[in-house]
Amino acid sequence: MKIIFPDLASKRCLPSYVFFVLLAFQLNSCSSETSPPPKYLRWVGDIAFDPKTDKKDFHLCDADDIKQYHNFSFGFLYKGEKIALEKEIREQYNTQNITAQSGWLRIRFIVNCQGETDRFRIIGMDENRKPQTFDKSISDQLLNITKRLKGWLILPDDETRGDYYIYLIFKLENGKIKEILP
Amino acid sequence: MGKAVDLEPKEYLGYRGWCRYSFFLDYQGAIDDLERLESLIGFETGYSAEGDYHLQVARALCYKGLGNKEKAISILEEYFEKSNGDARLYNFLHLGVLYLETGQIAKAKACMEKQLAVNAPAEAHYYMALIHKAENDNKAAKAQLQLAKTQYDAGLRMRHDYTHHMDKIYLVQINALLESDF
Repeated sequence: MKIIFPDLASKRCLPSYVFFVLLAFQLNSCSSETSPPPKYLRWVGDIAFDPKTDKKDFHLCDADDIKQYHNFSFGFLYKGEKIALEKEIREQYNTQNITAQSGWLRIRFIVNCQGETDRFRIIGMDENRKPQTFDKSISDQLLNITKRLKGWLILPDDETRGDYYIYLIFKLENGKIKEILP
Repeated sequence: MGKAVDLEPKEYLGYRGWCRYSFFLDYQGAIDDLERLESLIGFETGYSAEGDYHLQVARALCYKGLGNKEKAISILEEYFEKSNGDARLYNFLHLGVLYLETGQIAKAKACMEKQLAVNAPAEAHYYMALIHKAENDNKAAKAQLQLAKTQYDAGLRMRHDYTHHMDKIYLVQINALLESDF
């Protein structure tokens, strides 16, 4: 199977609404995005290494060309597809003793060329699209579950194997998971 | 995007409404935007950012997301009437599934036949199998399930580069039904 990459040197090759979504989160960013940014990131949304939170031995095949999961036209690459991922998350998420917060919590991270993950960043918003920090009973739990997910697939073509950004958005209602995106 | 909507609601309400549905499954928020747009410009509200759906179809899917299937059916019926039966992408599949879920089997079958005639993803065969099952025609149901599996394995399934379509079916679901005793 041949994978055709769009011209990733230019953001113009991607639909503008994708960047709108990324920007919406970026502009609403709360303090949980802890990495000290370099003067200019390559792209809006790039996740720079933060020695306080990120693994030093997390290997990237090409740190200068980390792609987006949607660049490959494969959609969501997870063993057993999204239905398996949702099952894993819902089975682990404990709704006892959680704060009854509602809104959206996004965890964005990198899947490297070996299918490993790191550089997790959390951001949240409330039901009125305002920035919101979720209680740790929710955010720490979802972060730890996300870190334990092992089914991320590497690209099925050696020629184009690389690292990519992916995210999970949890739509929460009174602390309970209503939906998982994308 | 909120600023853009404030300044030019006719231009950006559709865009924001679509994003609220597609990227956040914010059904009520999307409905609010799309119905405000309709109040400003009428029923012809335009298409989603990538052109896959008319925004009236997206609005109908949002009502389904909220559990109001009768309202979703009513919007889609009105849309098909006004659009002269727009067979875009998965339009007939979504209405067929709604009919199936509300026990209107004959209408579901008519819709799914139209879907299969214009675009036959694995899901259309899967739902046609459920329709045959509801008619107690297990032989036809099994044949449709086999077609669903064939299509799925060939990559002919509801696919989205960025997220997941409503009414999408996964391979594990097709296999589970194939292996079930019906």
